[in-house]
Amino acid sequence: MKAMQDLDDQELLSRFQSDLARGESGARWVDALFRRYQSRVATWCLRFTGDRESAGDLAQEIFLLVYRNLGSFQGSAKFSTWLYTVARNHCVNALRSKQAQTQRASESLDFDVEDSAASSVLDSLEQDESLKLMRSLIEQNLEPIEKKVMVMHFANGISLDAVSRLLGLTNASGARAHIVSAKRKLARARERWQARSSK
Amino acid sequence: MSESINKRITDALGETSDCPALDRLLDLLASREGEDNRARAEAHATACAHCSTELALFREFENATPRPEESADVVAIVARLQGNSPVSAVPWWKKVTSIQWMAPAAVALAAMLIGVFVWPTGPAEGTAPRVGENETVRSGRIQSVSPSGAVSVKPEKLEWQAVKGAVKYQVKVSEVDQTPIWAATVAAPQTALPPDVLEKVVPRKALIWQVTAVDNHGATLADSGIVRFQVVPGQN
Repeated sequence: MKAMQDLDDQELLSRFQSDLARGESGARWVDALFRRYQSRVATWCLRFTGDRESAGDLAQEIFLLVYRNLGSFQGSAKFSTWLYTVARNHCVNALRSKQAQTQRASESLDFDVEDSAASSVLDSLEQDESLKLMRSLIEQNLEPIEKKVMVMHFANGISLDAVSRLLGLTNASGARAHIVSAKRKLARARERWQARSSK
Repeated sequence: MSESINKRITDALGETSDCPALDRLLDLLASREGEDNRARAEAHATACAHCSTELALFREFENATPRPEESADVVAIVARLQGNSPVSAVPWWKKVTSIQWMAPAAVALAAMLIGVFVWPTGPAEGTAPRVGENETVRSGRIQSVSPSGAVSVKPEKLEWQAVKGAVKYQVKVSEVDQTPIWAATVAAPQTALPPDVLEKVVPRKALIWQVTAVDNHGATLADSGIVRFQVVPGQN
């Protein structure tokens, strides 16, 4: 019989579910599984919040959520992927809720260029068409790091400080510098597109 | 900038109907569904801002090793997680009385009984003098500390057995993740908890404390080790 540390995640989960089926708690299998990921979840939460106390709260809530739903975990995904999804969603929701409470302003998407003409042309496009255009401008004009920062901040609502910590950005102004540069590039790209479409 | 453009940019950064779920994307990229599918997934992941970000975040999670400046915080959070595991069907304070913990205690008790009933009584010539009942020997460990483990009533003071030769005792109370709450230096083998500490002593919340006995040269004579306690109403 394999020692506990030699069992992979799936084997630990199988033994937990077998114990559950026999009416036992199966706690030791889950405990061993959770211990493998505690440092990872703690680090992740710390990067999200930036402080030990609230990161500890989040990490505890994540493991509680996972534990409560372990019985229904089917194993179609890897445990680590599922844990990541739970951790990510929980952290994003908690951060959004905190930001909503404190009404902390996020970075604005507004551009510094005159864009009324572009707006009217864009407004005349069908929604799908303008979405495709925007995606194409983003894809063709932004560096990978700029795309990531834009998605995390604008689409996921993650604060710029948290984005900087999560991506390990060590430049002076962190994620903000990439947002500024991405906005400038997108504004220029829209100007070029507007000039072409008005010909 | 019109609101509609802002919204379209935000929408363009979001998930599309072509974006697979993360576990499927990982399977596709690992060639589990054939080389053609892998190549298509890779092209999508490269072009799609949403998917490339999801993958980057997942890889950050997979490889989340604490950076030097994060290490102390991560160690404290992990200690907290291990102290409050959702898995524990049995609360930690009940584990204190479990067989695993009782075995060494039973051996110690047996040794004491042998000492009391079998060993010759009275000090032999040349042995060290007996210490008073209220004092411990210089064993390095302060005994008989209170509160400890589960207690039914909110403690208003910390008490411990006196240590011979100690001129002062350094006491500290912390959260279970070792975040300091209060510290004091006292002369007597007990101290009242101040009101701001008492406010933190709430039912079912564990706290830890430690006392160190110090002699008149500032040397440590004995230490209680970390003592954990928790108010559990109805607990005997």
